[in-house]
Amino acid sequence: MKPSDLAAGTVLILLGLYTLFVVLPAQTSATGGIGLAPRDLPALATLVVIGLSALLVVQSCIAKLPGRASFWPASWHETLTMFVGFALALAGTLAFQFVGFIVGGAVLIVSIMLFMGERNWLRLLLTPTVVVGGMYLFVTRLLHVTVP
Amino acid sequence: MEAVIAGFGAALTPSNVAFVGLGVLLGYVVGVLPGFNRPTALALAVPLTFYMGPISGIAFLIGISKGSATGGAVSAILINTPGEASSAATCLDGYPLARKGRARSALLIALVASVWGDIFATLVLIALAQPLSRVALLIGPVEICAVLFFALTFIASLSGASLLKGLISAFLGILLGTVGLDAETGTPRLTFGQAELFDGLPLMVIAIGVLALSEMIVQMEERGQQQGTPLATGGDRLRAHEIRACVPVILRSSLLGTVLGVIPGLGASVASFLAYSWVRSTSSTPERFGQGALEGVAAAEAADNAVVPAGLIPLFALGIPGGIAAALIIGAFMIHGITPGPLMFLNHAHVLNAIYASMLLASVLMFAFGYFGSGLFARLAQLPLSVIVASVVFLCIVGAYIEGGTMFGVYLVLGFAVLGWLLRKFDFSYVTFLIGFVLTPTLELSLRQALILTDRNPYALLQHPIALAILAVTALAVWRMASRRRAVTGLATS
Amino acid sequence: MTRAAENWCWRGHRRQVCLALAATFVAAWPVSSWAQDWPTKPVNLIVGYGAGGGVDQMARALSPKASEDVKQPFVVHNRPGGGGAVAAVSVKAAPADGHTLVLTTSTTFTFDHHFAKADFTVADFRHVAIIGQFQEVFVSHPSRPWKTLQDAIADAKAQSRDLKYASFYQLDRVVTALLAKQSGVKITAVPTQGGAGVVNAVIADQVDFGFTGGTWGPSVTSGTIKLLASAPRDPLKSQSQVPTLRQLGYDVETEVFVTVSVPKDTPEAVVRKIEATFNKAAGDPAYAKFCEEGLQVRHFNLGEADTKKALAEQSERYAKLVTAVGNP
Repeated sequence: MKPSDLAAGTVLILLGLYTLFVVLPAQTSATGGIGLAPRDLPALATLVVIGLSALLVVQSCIAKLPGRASFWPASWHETLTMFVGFALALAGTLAFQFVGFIVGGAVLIVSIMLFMGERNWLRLLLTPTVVVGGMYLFVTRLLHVTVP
Repeated sequence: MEAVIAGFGAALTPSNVAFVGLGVLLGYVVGVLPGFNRPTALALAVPLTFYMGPISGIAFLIGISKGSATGGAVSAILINTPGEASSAATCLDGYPLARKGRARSALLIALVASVWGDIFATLVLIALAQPLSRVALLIGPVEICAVLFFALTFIASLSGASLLKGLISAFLGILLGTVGLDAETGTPRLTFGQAELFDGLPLMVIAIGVLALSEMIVQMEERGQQQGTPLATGGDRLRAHEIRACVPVILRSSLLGTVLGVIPGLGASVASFLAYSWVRSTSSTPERFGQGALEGVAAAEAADNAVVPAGLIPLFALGIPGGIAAALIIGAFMIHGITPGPLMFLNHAHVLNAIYASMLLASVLMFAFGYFGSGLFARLAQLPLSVIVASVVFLCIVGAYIEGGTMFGVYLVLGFAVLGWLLRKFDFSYVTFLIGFVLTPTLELSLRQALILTDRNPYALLQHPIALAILAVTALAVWRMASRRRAVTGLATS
Repeated sequence: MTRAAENWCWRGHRRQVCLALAATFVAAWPVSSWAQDWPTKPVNLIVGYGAGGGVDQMARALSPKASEDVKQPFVVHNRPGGGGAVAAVSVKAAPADGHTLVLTTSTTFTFDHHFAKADFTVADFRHVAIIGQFQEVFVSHPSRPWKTLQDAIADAKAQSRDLKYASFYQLDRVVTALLAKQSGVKITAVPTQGGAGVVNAVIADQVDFGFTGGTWGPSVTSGTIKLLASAPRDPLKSQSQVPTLRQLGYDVETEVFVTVSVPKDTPEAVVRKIEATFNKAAGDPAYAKFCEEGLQVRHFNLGEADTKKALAEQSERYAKLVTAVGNP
C-alpha cells in the first residue's frame, strides 16, 4: 500500500466530484457553441481526473512498499518550511501592496534571509539595497511602470 | 543569396549596426527579466522606429524579438523563472544544472542553441520563404489538431515514475487551461465572476508559481547552510562528449521550431515544450532529463529561438501576421510605405535583402552579448543560497505584478506556488501539468474549428492527407510507447 | 481598506495617496479644491487591450501629445482581458480625480454585457471623448467569384448550402445571425484568435469569408484578400466603393468607437480639462493621418456631450439587435 498516493487519489476524487457537480454547473454553460459546448472540455478533463484518481487509489492499495510510509509525503521540517515560507511570501506581498515597493521588497528579502539563517549583516544590508533599489530604478525610470 | 550579400552593404552602415545592437541588447534585458514580455517591449519600441529608416526600424524590432528569446533562458536557468513564457521548458533542465554548479555550461549551451536555432530559421526564411509559406496555407485547423494530438502522446514519456500520475497532472493542466471567456460563445467559464480571469490564467503566472516560487520554498528547507552552490567537480566546463550529444539535438530542435514557427497560431511556448518532449522521449537515457540534462536545455532553446524568424515567413511571403509581435512588425513596415506580402519581394527587394542581412547581423551580435552576459550572470549562481532565494521570491512578486499590472496575478502566483509544492511532494509531474495547460487553448480552438469546418463528418478527414499522416504517426507512437513500457514492466516483474 | 483605496495605493505616490485617502473618506466634498488642478501628477491611461493592438497604438500615439499639452506624463498601462472589462473594472474602482482614465472600445460598455456580465455598466463612467472608430469589413479570398457579400449569400442560396466564416468575436456573430435570418441562408461562425486569425483563415481559403475590424489593410493592399462589404453605417474612408451592409439591403450596422472614460464621480472641472486635452491631442492632423493610413481607423474627435449621446444610442441599438436575433 502506498498511503500518499491513496491520500492524493482520494482528495482528487472528492475535488473532482465537487468540480463536476457544483463548480462546473455554476461556472460554465452547457449549451451554445456549434463545435463544442463551453462545458465539454472542462467536464471531460474532470471526468478523466476522477477516473484516473480512482485507478490510482486501487493501485496504491495493491502496491507493496518496503518500510513505513505515511499519508503525508513531506517531513515535519518540510511542511513547516512550506508554511513559514508561504507566510513570508504572503506577508511580503501584502507589505508590497500596502506599504510600497521599496519598503515591502526590503522587508520581504530580509525576513526570508533571516529565516534561512543568514546572520551576516553586510549581506543582509547589501542584498535588499542592490536588488530592490536596482529593480526600482530599472522599472520606474527605464520602463516607466508605476509601482506601489 | 547574392542579393543578400549586396544587402549587407546597406545593412552594415554604422547607424544600422548600432540600432540592431541596441535592439538586441534591449530585447536581451527584457528577456532576462520575468514579467516584461516581448509584445510590451515591441510596443514601447515601435514609436522609436518612426524616426529611423525602414531598414534600421525593422531590424531594431527584429533585434528585440530575437534578443528577448535568448535572454529568457538566463533567468530560466539561474532562478527557475522563465524570463519569457516560451522559456518555461528551459527551466526543466536548466535550473537543475545550475543547482549542480553548472550554470555557465547551461547558459552557454542555451546560447549556442538559441543562436543556431535563430540563424538556421533565418536562413530558411531567406531561402525558402515563398515555397514554405504555401505549405503553411495547407495547415488548417484539422492539421493543427492532429499535430496537437501527436504532442499529447509525449505526456506519457514525460510522466516520470508513474504514468497514471503524469496523466492526472496533464488533465489538471487541461482543466485549468479552459478558464476564461469561451472562444465560441463568449460566455465566462470557471472565472468566478473575476474579470481578470476572462482571458484565462496567464502562462507566466502559472510558470512563476509552479516552477519558481514553489521551488524557492523547497529550497528554504536547506536553511542554515550559508555557502553558495559549489562549482561542479572538475570545474564548470563543457566537455567534448556533451557538446557531441547536443549537436544533433540542436539541429533537430531548430528544424522542429522552424516547421512549427511557420504555422500561424502555434507559437514559441508550444514549440519549445514539443522539442523538449521529443528529445527526451527519443533519448536513450530519458531518466537524466529533469535532473540536469544539457540536451533538454539545448532542445527547448533551439526551438524557442527558431520560431521567431520562422514566424516571419508567412508574414513576409503572404502578409499573415502569426501573432501580436508580427502584427507590430507589419505596422512598422506600413509606416515606411512597405506592404508585407508577395509584392514586397518584387517592389522592395533591396530593402528586404538589407533586412535579411540585418537579421543575420542580429544573430551575431546576440551571440556576442549572450557570451559576455552568460559569463557575468553565471557568477550570480555562486551567491549564497539565502541571497538567491530571497531575491528570487521578490522577483517572482515583481514579475507577476508587472505582467498583469494588478495584484491579482501576484496572489495567483502564491496560490500556484502551493500547488507546485504539493505536486512536488506527492510526486506528481509538474512538467505534464504545464504541457497540458500550454496545449489546451490552441487544442480546444482548433478542435472546434475542425469540427465546424468538417461538419462533424469523420469522412471529411479524407480530404486532409497531412492530418491523416500525422494521426497515423500518432497511433504508431502510442503503439511503440505501449510496447516499450510493457517490455520495461515485463523485465521488472520477471 | 476599500477597494478604491486599495487600487489606488497601487498607482504609487505616497503623499498624494495619503492626501487622497483623507479626501475619499471625507466624501461629502467630492470637489475638493486641489482636485481642480488637473493634472497634479502623472496620468495613468489604462488601455483595455494588449500592447501592440490598434487600441493600444492609438493610446500610444495620443499620450505624448497630451503629455506635452498638460506638462505631466500620460503613462500607458495595458490591462487586457474580456474585451476591455478588466481595464474598466479597475478604473471604476480608482479614485475619481482624473488621474486614472480608461481607453477602450465602446463595446466594452454597450455590447459585451449581453454575453459576459462584469461589475460595471455604461453609467458608472463619464465618457469624455471618442478618438476613433474601427471599420469592420467582410473579406474573402480573391479566388471566390463574389463581388459583394450579397453575391456570396445569393450563391449559397442557389446551391442551397451553408456559409462558414471566420469570426472575430460576439459582435459579428450577432450581425451574421441577422443576415442569416433576413436571407434564409445558414451562416456558421468559425471562432478564431483575434483579427489576425481571421485574416489567416481567409488567406488560406479555409472559410467562405471572414469578418475583421483592424488588420485587413495590408492584406487588401497586397491583393491577398478582397473586400466584400463594410459593416459600419458610413462607407469606408479609403475604399468608398465597397458597399455597406445597409446599401446591400440589410437592416444592421456595426459601430465600435475608441473611447476615453473616467469614473462617474470625477469633478466637473476636471472632466472639462480632460475633454479639452483629448480634443486637442486627437485634433492633431498627424494623429488623424496615423489612424486612417496606419490603422484603417476612421478618425474621430468628439467631446463628452456627443460621446454620451453616441454611446446611449449604441447601447439601445445593440440591445435591440441582440433581442432581434436571440442570443446566438
